[in-house]
Amino acid sequence: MDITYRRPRPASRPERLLAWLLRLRPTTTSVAARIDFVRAEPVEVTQA
Amino acid sequence: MTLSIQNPDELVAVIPHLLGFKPEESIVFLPMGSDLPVARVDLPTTPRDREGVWRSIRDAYGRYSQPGSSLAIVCLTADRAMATDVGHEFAARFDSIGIDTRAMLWADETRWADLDTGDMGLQTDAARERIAAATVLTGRAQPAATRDSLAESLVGDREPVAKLLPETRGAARENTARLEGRWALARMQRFQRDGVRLSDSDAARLLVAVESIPTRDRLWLDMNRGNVGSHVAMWTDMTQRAPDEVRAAPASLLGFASWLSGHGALAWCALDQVPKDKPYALANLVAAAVETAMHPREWEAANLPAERGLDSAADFISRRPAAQAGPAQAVPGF
Repeated sequence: MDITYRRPRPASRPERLLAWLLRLRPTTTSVAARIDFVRAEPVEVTQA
Repeated sequence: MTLSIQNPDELVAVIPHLLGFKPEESIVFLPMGSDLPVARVDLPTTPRDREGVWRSIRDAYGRYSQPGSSLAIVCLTADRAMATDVGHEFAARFDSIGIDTRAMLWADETRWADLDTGDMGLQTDAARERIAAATVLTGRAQPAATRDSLAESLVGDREPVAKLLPETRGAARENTARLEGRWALARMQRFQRDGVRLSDSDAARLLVAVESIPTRDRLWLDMNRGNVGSHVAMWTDMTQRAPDEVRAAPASLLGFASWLSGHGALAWCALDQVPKDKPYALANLVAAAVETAMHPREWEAANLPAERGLDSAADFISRRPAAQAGPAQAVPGF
């Protein structure tokens, strides 16, 4: 998808909240690699 | 709930259940008992690609790592030599930010190997069955065969709703936006109760209703980790059935619901369904949240429900001048 942000700023209240949360994060250079980040149940090794 | 892994065979077997699909030619980073995210990316075969991948994941892992954080690296590829090179390189990079690599594995379609010890084995049905049974208990859906099939699952028959859109728009114009918004919220709540697929006419009406940003936001703010499974089901169905002209909102809501439920791959697939000629602010914001591995609890903490007697951060933001509320610097990916 095109993730160029063409609108001057988020329009609605929850959009502004999400943008505000993202603002707190360090700015990284966007790269072509698409990472699938997943939040999942912790995995533990119980036996070698 | 913690997934208990007893051997490398089971470690390889658990990956499709965590990702939601069976990865191919990929490198997967699996946290061991910590708050780090799981991450999968196409196997970076050149130094430039590896540098790009590292720059994408370094901040996400650095932000959530704690003393003692560790992970396993699994390279899924037919090329074992490449897996060895890539695996060791990323292990060294993680070590540089204080994250220990407890296991480094290579796996192809049928075998696995420990790249540190040289131990090898076959991937067994016994391991796959034990892990499948364990993940069912966590409520996870069975994984798709491939990432492509996960993406294709969001494309359905869009003709029936497309045919109804002109008359649905006409009927919606007869009502106020507030009335259509109330109907949309009630329809969503009915789906949460009965789980019955919407008729074509209801689907068309809902898709027209969520073109209104206030209505879309009411449904968006209804999402929480308790009901997100129902939202994923609803917006998956709407994305499958929505013609281009009304797909931006449902696909973005599906992207958000997927991210809220921890399913980054499904979130990307949903965002890919946003028509490319229709820039959509929510889609871009969800893309940034997924891209930076923002933890869903950060959204939940900020978006406290009003019934707890506290102003939500959304209310706080709404009262701030717009110039202060927007990002002061470019959000990643924007």
